[in-house]
Amino acid sequence: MDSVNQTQLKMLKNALLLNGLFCIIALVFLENPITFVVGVIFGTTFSLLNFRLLYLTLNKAVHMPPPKAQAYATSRYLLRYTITGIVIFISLKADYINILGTIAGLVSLKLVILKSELFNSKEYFKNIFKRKEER
Amino acid sequence: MENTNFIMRFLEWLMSFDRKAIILAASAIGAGLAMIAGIGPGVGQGYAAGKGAEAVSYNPKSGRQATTVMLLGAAVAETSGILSLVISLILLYANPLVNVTGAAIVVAASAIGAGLSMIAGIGPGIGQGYAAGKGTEMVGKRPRLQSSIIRTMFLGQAVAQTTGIYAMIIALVLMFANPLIGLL
Repeated sequence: MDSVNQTQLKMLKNALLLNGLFCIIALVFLENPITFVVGVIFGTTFSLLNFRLLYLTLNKAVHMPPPKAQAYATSRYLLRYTITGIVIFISLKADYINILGTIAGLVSLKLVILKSELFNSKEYFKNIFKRKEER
Repeated sequence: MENTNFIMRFLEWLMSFDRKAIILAASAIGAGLAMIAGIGPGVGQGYAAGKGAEAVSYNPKSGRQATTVMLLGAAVAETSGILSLVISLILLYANPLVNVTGAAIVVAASAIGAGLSMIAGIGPGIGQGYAAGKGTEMVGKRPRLQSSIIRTMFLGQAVAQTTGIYAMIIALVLMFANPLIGLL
């Protein structure tokens, strides 16, 4: 398996874990947790599909001349943006889906990316505050 | 003199409408304004994709690594677009301002203000896409430094996102906990 697919799999696992945690918190603390859990599942599913679509777009774009790649990526972004709009619209309209759950599911992937790629090395942050001579 | 004061005439004309109609019209303007933020991630992701194509053409061996960096960077750059979409759709389909009591003009202005504040989302969208593009370019040139480049890129993107989140907080405050209505 190549590095891009490995990264995607890692993000998928971490996103499922984080959203599982959201669901557990909702089950413990909320009065009506089912709608929130449905929202989280709905948002997460779409978020992961969106991520896959982004990969397919960029994978195609890197083999194009740069100006064409820019236009292609932007047009595909607008398509994904429209689908995101439809997902949020459905969650707002449907009584059995909590909009906050859907938003949590949609944004969770970004949190997972930041957690697994940025906050994964203590040394990096220690080095920021160290003087040059101490390194 | 009074007849030439167009602002007063406009406000008088505006107040001739039903209170609910004014708030709904303002919400429609606000929702449209919020969607302007969608430009940011579009430009940013396009830039990142362009840089990715450049990186792969310079050094085809590092193509997979460049794609990984671009994919993660572009995914994060989309966040402000999603946030503006949420605000816009709340204004359209779950508008909390319709039932708010108080002067109609303040409530209507709050709806427009909520949409206007989300325009700030253009900044993080373009900025994060720019960071993703530069990260991709450098990974293409120096694939060995991928982990350091990726971390620095995400640090920059996380900081760049802050203003987008501030904008969303102001939009949510204007919609759900408006302090201006209580001041009348």
